[in-house]
Amino acid sequence: MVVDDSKTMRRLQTNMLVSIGFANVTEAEDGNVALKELEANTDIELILLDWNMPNLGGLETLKKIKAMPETKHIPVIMVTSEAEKTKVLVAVQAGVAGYVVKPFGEGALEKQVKTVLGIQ
Amino acid sequence: MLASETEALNSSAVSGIIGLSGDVQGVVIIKFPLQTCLAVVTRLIGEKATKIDDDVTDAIGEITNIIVGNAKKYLNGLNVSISLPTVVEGSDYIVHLSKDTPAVCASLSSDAGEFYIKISTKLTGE
Repeated sequence: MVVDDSKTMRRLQTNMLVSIGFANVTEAEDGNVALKELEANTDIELILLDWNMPNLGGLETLKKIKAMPETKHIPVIMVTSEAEKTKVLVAVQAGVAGYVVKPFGEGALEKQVKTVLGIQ
Repeated sequence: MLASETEALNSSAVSGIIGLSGDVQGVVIIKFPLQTCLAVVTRLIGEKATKIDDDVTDAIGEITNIIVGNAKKYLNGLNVSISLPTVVEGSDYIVHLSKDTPAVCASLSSDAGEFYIKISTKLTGE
């Protein structure tokens, strides 16, 4: 699932996931929509999550995902323009599996996804 | 208003605006003339952008978010939050800033074209 309030970024990340073999990619424009999708869809294997979003932001969404028994196992990669080390630490403490700062170079997000999922 | 700022306002096509809050308060405005706007969006999305539409304004909002979000990391030790971006299309607008907040306007060049940035901020934290 790709969670980002920018349609542009959702499209870019979805295209990348499809190119490495994910057949079905769900998109959500904020944390509330993401949580509703997670209730309806138990097959989500990975979440790419933006930080700054309307309604429910990324950090709060991450904490909720990690607090629920049905979703806490899903690896989450923050994909965000928040580049400070303090933000990275906060995300790690909240249970994030990876962190990619925008703008990311070609292949960087794909590499992080493969690392987190343990795939070649 | 500086002459270069007037010129920037007249030539800009799409502007991204982000507010800052916390230890630093203010606003950052990035103004992209049409050709620069289309060139940077083309680079971001990997497809040729030919006119201002919803995809382009969305992309400019994201580009503004990326620029300001990355710049924020240089504010060492300061706790600063950024707003969601607002995107304004067109050049016929004036932003009225707080009189007690200094502002600087700069013209920047890149290999995608010229663009303009206005930063108006004040330190509120200790």
